[in-house]
Amino acid sequence: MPDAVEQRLSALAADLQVPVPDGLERAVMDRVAATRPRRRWRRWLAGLVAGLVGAGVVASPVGAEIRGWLGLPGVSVTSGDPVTETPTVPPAPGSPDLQRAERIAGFTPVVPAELGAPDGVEVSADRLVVSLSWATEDGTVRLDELRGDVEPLFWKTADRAQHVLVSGAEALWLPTAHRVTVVPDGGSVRDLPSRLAAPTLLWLDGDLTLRLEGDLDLAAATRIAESTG
Amino acid sequence: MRAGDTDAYAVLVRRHAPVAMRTAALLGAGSDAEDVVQEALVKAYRSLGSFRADRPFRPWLLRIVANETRNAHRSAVRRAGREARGTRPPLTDLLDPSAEVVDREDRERLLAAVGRLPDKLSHVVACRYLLELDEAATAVVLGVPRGTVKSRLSRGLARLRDDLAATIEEVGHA
Repeated sequence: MPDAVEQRLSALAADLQVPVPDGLERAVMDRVAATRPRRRWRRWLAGLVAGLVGAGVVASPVGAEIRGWLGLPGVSVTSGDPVTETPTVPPAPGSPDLQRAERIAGFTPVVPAELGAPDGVEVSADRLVVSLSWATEDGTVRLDELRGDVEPLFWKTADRAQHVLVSGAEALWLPTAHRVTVVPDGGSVRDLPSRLAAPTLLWLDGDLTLRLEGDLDLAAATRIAESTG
Repeated sequence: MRAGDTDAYAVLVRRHAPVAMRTAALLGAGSDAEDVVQEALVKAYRSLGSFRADRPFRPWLLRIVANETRNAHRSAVRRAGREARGTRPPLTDLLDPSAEVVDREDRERLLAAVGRLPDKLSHVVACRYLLELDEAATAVVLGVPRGTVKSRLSRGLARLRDDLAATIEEVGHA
């Protein structure tokens, strides 16, 4: 049972401010550019970011793929075997109170006009991901939203992926059922339950990474995604 | 060197630099925090070969930050002799100056009390509560067994309770 001191310490964490100095990343990357990582890391890195290459959909050098991944912070796609089962999209179980979600998560959830007010709204236990869901004729449609500058990662294993454009910006379309695992802050993928996901469109809106999932085709998904502006 | 590898590392640097800075500051790096973190991030890159991809990256990185902080502190003490001990900036400097912090005085008192703990205890308290790491991650970062984390944590909290009770009494008498 946490007592008063423990609670006060936990509350204190939010009030600490240690800024990252402006030149830090630059200085590190300048020094790093002069060295070479060991092979094992390269292999792991390749696995982490090069799913698209592995799947053979986009044949481009690893560097370009990494930039593709950079464009979708908080999400990592790796290559995997095709899945034959039919996924069920889980609805967000909470009451559709967007203001409450905004208060808890600290950002304003994006709501696509094409879908209207959500039927369910949920904020993850770590307060990093807001999920909205709608019951539609085609089954549940779900939209997960997270700020790209925080973990967790959505760790996806897909057999196919395609670069597409949403409102002129880079986006990623996973047209088939695939595995998705949410990796908590600082955690590892091991021991985490993954679930089967329906076709998914990933795109960015400001500093938010958005993940739309449902029994949709690319045209419908893009229409929904572009109706957030 | 392919550009892609460093691009990806830049992502990790951006992602983890804030918590690395926080760790260095809380473990007592003071004005050396930036140098410590820069050094740690470069060292981490060079030792990526020993990093196991199925383990969490963050505690592994923060352990390097903690080690660098210790090294920096040692050499500062060597450089300046005993005076260096007194030159560490108080943890209360880390309170966000711009935000409307509720009960600022109360928080300053609490932070100051954490700063007064012996290093071993204050580091465990900082990892668990101010860096919000769990026990397992704290053990990795500080390089001590989990049992040690538990016992130091309970001693640290007990001291904090005593210390704060004493401060409140003083205030009461003043």
